[in-house]
Amino acid sequence: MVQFAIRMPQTEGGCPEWTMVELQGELETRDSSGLPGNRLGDLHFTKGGQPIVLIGHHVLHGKVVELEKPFAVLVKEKKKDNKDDSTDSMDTGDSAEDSEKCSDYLVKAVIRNKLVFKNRPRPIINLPHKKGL
Amino acid sequence: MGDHEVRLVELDSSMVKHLEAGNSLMVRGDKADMAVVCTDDSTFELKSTQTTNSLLLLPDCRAPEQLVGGDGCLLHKEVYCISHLYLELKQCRPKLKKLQTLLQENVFTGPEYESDEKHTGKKYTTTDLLSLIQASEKELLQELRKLHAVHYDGYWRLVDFDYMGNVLQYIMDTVDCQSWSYDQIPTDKLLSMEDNVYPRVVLQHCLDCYGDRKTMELDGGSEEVHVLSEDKVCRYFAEYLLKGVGKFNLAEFLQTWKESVPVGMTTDLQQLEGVALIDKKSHPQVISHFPVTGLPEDAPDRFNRLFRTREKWTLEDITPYIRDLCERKQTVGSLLTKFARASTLPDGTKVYNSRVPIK
Repeated sequence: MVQFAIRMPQTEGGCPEWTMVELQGELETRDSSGLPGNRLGDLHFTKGGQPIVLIGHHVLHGKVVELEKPFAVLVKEKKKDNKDDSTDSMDTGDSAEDSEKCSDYLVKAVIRNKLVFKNRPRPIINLPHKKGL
Repeated sequence: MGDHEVRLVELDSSMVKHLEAGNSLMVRGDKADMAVVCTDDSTFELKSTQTTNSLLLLPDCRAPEQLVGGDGCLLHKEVYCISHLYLELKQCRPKLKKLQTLLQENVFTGPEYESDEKHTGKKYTTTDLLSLIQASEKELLQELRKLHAVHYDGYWRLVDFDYMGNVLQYIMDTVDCQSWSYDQIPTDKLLSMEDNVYPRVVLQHCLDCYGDRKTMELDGGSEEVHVLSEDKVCRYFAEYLLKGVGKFNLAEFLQTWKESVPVGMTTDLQQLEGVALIDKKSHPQVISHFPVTGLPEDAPDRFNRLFRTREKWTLEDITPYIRDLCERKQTVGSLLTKFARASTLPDGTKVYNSRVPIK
């Protein structure tokens, strides 16, 4: 059986709080260069606290939702001897015969809120200059 | 836009508090099974959930309220990564059946036999067991208590049935000899007797299995005593008679059982709930050993076994054999709805039989 721990490193200031943006579907780059390293878009908040996302030629309106159950963002702890631990212990079907100790997972952050964008993206034809937005 | 490998897990607030306090959550996975997450006292199934939505993780994102009245400058934030997968936790029953299999490798039959050829099997400490069983520590210890396992020399051991009977008989004989009462056995006096035939740990264990601890207030202070449990002692004697016998004529059994228990104790068939089955239809009526601890842990397998043993069950008869299958918030009734089919006999009795062909 495989056994490992999920731990939260005790740091000053406590565990970082992140947030999560939930979009429907997938994000793609026009030239399929892959997302990493690229600029995604802009996130704005209205005076009323409503989030707005601008991606490419589109605007999405969303809302802030407090999660019923918080999420923990886990990263695998690097083993001291830097052995390449290629088996992902979170997946089932390990071939360990006896009890095997795997890398622990560390809580990098806790997410208690998400910005959900459920509405269809609207193309920006021209942005009206509205006061009080 | 960043690209890091992470896992998103949905936790409940009490788990987050548990982690914030510096404690760990243990993840335990078996080859064939799903992995489970254990806190100190509960077990949860870990399920991977896929979503078509894109979840962008934003580090250190400030909530809108914190930005109000700000200077309106642009903050550059890097998305840590995008995920379509997250893990959900659902509380479940711990998987404890394996515990019996492990402990049967080396059953305790007394210190004098520890080095013989029957006792070369592996022995397990609490830590060993926690690394092999998908359960939290509290649930593991609870099950060990239920199995009457003794913590001997740092290892958890199942105690041989006959040996346990001998220890129990010795305790009762000693009580009689000393003119003590079964309701008030002075624990320390008994354990400290010089010529005790059994080790202190074993005597203490037997007292705890078949009695309850109580603190008596006497002049001159308080004293720890054990109160022998009539139900538990009578149950032992019943099992002694039923084990290895197959079917026992009910009337004969009841008489023999009554005569075998200590003077002053009363036998009652209710004491054998989950331990023995009575066949009221056979002529003469018979009783047989049928302990719930010997049945499969998985619900469909358990019901299959029960229906294989007996085609139709009344609610009263089946309850002791399925009660332990209830997950949180589940009732015996909902289990029966799921795994059985109800019908009514000509005499009006409501019975349950299998929904599926019996294997």
